[in-house]
Amino acid sequence: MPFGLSRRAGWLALAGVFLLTGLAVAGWTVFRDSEKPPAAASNTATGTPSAQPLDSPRAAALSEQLTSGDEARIRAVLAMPSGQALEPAAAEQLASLGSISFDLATFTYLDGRTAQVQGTVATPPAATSPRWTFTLLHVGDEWKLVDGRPNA
Amino acid sequence: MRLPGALTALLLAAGLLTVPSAAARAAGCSGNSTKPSANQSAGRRPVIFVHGWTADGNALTGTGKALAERTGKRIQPFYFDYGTNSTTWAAHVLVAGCLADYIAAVSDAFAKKRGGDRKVVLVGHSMGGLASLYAARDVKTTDRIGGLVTFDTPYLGSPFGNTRVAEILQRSVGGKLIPPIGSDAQVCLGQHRDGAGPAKGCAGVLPPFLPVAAGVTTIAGDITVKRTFGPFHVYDVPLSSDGIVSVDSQHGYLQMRRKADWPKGQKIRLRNATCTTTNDSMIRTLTAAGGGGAIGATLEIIAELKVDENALDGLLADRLTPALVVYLGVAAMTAECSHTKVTSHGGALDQAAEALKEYLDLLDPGTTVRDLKPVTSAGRVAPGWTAVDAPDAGGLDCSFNSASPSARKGDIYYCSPSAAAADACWVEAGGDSMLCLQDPMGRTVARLWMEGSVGAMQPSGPARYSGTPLPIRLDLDSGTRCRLRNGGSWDAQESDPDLAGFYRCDNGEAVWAKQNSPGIDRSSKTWTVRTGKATGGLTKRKVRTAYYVATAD
Repeated sequence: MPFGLSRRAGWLALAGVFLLTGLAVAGWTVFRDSEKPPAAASNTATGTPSAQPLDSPRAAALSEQLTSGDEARIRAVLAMPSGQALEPAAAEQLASLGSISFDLATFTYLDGRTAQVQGTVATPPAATSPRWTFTLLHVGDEWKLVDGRPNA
Repeated sequence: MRLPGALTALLLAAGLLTVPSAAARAAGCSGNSTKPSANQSAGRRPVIFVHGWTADGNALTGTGKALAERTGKRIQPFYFDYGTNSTTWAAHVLVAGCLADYIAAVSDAFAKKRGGDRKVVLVGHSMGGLASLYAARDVKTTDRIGGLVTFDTPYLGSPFGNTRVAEILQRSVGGKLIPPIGSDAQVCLGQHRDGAGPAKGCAGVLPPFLPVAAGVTTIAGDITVKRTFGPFHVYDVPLSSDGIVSVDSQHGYLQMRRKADWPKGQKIRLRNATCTTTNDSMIRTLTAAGGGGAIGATLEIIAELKVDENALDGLLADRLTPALVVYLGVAAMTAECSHTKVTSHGGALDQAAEALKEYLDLLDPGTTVRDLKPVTSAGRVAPGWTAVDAPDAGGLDCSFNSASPSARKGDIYYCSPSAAAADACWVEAGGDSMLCLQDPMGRTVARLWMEGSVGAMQPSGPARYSGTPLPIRLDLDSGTRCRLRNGGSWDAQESDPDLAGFYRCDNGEAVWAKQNSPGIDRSSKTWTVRTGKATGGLTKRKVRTAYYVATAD
């Protein structure tokens, strides 16, 4: 990995890491000893979708819980560390979105267990588009939200 | 797998880490470094920039220019280039040995230009900081390093050295961007602390501390990932890392060794260059790169990273997974204070400039002004001084009440004739003699008697002042001492007939200046003069200490 290297070399290194991380992740299991491999390493090795696409009931649950204003319910749909505290204003700000209508036809896999989907928020923040792009991670047996941002 | 690598490193070390002949060393020091004599100036301190792994001498030119600006052009950057050996561990003679030679060469060229001390300041990025310490082992550099500033130097190693994941990634990526498996660089980059020595198999020794007089400033890139959702701030993940090296390691200059071995009295500054990136920009970087199988694993890291109970430190130390490598790598690529970007980060440059200015002030503290007080207000010889009767100079005349040109206040007189060197005189108790400071280099005053009848040529009133006082003695940065001229006929300076000699120096030279000028350039905190003989060129010198005369209590 770059160790005092130039920015260009750093990007080259990163590109190399991206290209070969799949191989590395698979190889990791050969070399591992006490450490635990990533939970779904086998899924990422191939990039083949291993989860069903986002469906309407789950999409409705994502919308309802993310905008509930309740931290526990937000945690249930937002992929985040279990012990991590939310910023004090976060729950209220997420609730200010009103609701989210996911356009399931736009669901696209990024790799075996990540995807992106378009959606429309009912009350977008000032000067932002109501159309958002959401990034999803398949955790356990269900999709969780990793990221969401207004489209440019 | 690791054992053969270690053996290889040991074998390599046996042949390469010993000090080779000067010829072999010279042949290996073939980088395109700045010429040591280039742009040397008495007024600008040389600062040698030492790049890191896989880089070359051009890597830090922007940093050098920025720091020259931020220090008011008080530094002259020099760029050491070991690009042809930049994937060799810092301790190697073709890195540290060549750097030591370069430090000596720049130092010599500076001393030739300026005289006085030979000190240079070092600025190292990443492994360049370690190379600077290793170079300090060389006896020729010991008294030449006036300070060190490091950006993101892995004093305590990095998880990218000597770990399983580093091995896997090296096998995957190949080349030398990750230190080759078994190389001294790969092994020596392993994590260590408290004098435990470099990782097992590293043939090098721990870097030495710099001499105590040289300050050390460690600047650490410290990334915080701001977890956002749209425009909303959800929480922060402080990485305590620049993406490659932990902050702990970047500040680990002392912790390399046991506390009992720490240098006493060395000034060490720890400074952080902090910045924030967002998970949003990281995801965009990942998706733009296509990601392969990396996105899912990396997003999982985003979802799992805990910031409490030092869980991240644990990950870095013991459970550095490929996904975490990618996560840190993406953070490093998107954050402005990351390992690859810190040398152009505004906050880091400010910190470095502040450190450099402090070192420059210590190395060039400005002109010190002191008073020589050989006589008390009662007209008696002050403690620590003695009076001797001067040979008869034909009688002294102090009746015109002129103040000594070297006095700033009080009744200290200028008397004639000039041959008596009586330009700083006090009326001695009893009133029939004067005590004059003829030799401001010593601790003796001359007792001179009045011309004619007793008391006739004494001062008749308070000393009258005119013009700007001139120090009676100047100590220059070259070690030369000069005494204020007191009349006499001097040769003109051949380069300019308008120049007059103001001071006579103990090396046979004089201080020259325009006849009606103040004689000394006091426009900065370090005063300067021009010195030389009546024939030949003049040299600008700094005044270390200027001595005026005053009356003791």
